[in-house]
Amino acid sequence: MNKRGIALIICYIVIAVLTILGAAFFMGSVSESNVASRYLDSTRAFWLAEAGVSQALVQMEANDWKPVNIPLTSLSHGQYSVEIVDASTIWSHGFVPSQISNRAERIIELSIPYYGGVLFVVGDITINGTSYSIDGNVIYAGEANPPIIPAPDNITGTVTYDPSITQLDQLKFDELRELSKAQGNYHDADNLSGPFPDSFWYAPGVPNVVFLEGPLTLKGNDSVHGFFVVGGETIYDTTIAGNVSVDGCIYAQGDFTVKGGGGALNVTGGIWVGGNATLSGGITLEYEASYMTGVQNLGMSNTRPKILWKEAHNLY
Amino acid sequence: MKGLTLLEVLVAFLIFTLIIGGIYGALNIAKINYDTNLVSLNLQRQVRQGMSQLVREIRQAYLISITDKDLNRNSITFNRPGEDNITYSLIAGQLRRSPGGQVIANDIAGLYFAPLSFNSSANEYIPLQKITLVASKTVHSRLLTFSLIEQVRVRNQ
Repeated sequence: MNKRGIALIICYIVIAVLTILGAAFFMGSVSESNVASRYLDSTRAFWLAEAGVSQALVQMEANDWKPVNIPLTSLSHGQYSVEIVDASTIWSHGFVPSQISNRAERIIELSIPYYGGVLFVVGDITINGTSYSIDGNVIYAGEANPPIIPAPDNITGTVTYDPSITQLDQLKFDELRELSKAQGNYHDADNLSGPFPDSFWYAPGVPNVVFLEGPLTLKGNDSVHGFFVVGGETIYDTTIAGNVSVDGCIYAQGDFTVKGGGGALNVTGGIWVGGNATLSGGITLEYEASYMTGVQNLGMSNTRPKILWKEAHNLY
Repeated sequence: MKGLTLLEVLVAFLIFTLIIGGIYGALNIAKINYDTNLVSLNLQRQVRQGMSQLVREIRQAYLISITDKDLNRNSITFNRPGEDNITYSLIAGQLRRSPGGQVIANDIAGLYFAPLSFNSSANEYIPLQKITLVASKTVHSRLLTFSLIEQVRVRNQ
């Protein structure tokens, strides 16, 4: 038998085996290096987003803690930008290498829960009965009776328990008092029962600031509008009885009590309570972002509000 | 053709045994190396994966409390925006997250959360959370260990 042709075949086999081995190693190392570079891109995008956060915090401090936009800015290996999502939330994006053709994007969310809730209570929340409905976020620092975590069906929105909150954010009360006087909405201690404005807005974008030098009592068929500052730095209670409708926001450092007993309270806006909140009877609370933005745009925050940092869903 | 003598057969057998023994030894060493490397890679993967998730979630944490059981400090509980009472702990060699009891990493031998240090002049906690995660496994009676230490700046503290 003539075996001289076997050398060629063996050569082919050896070459094929070596090629397969080489290709496998090559592909392995390419995919390893892709994984590594993707991780690098993602980490860079994260720190670019952090750069956006730092810049946003500096600008917000100079801007009375209102949310800010930062246009697309190039830095080092990529770009970042900050966008306002709503009255209480901004998103900082980090892109590598650029927004248009990004290989990696990371998003950090900063939220100011202070303006993002329909009910913000430093003390306890007591809810009597089940004929209530709350459409918006609830933040409280005391005890809830009955427990509202996890949120019952009556609450549409998130419920946050944060005992680190010890008081309401202290606003620039003197400036609010002056603004209220200028708008003709100031009420001294002898003149607490109104009349109150008939619209939330004093001018486009500017709410009516109703400053009361005493407790707020609403009863009967009261229907009030505006941003109510009850007592300013002094602690006064707010009491509501009867069918009352509030089209706006209430800032009260004292207790907030709804008496119930056949009456109903409808709020469109948001309520800050420095003391305890007791809600009885038919209560409907609905968050209104445009009102909260209006209040926030007054620029009356005196101290840095609590800002929550959160990494939003990232694509990689 | 003549047959082989007994001596020739014995010598051939001896040579054959030596060659086979050599090959077996070499293959055995290769196998031990292979197993060791595989386990070692797996340990690194477990620790990196666990650490990556710990870092990501603890960055967002507030109201952190570290369980001081036997000074091991191998359990941490905190809130983050959107979820309360998250616990990471070391249970039966696994890094687990509750609620849910989800297993984040296996073969974990050590988990340690240093308490936040207190800056008495500024009267506040320094928001740096140190995390140590150790994985170990015995392979071919050899103990392999891999550990990572990370320091996370806690954004919401």
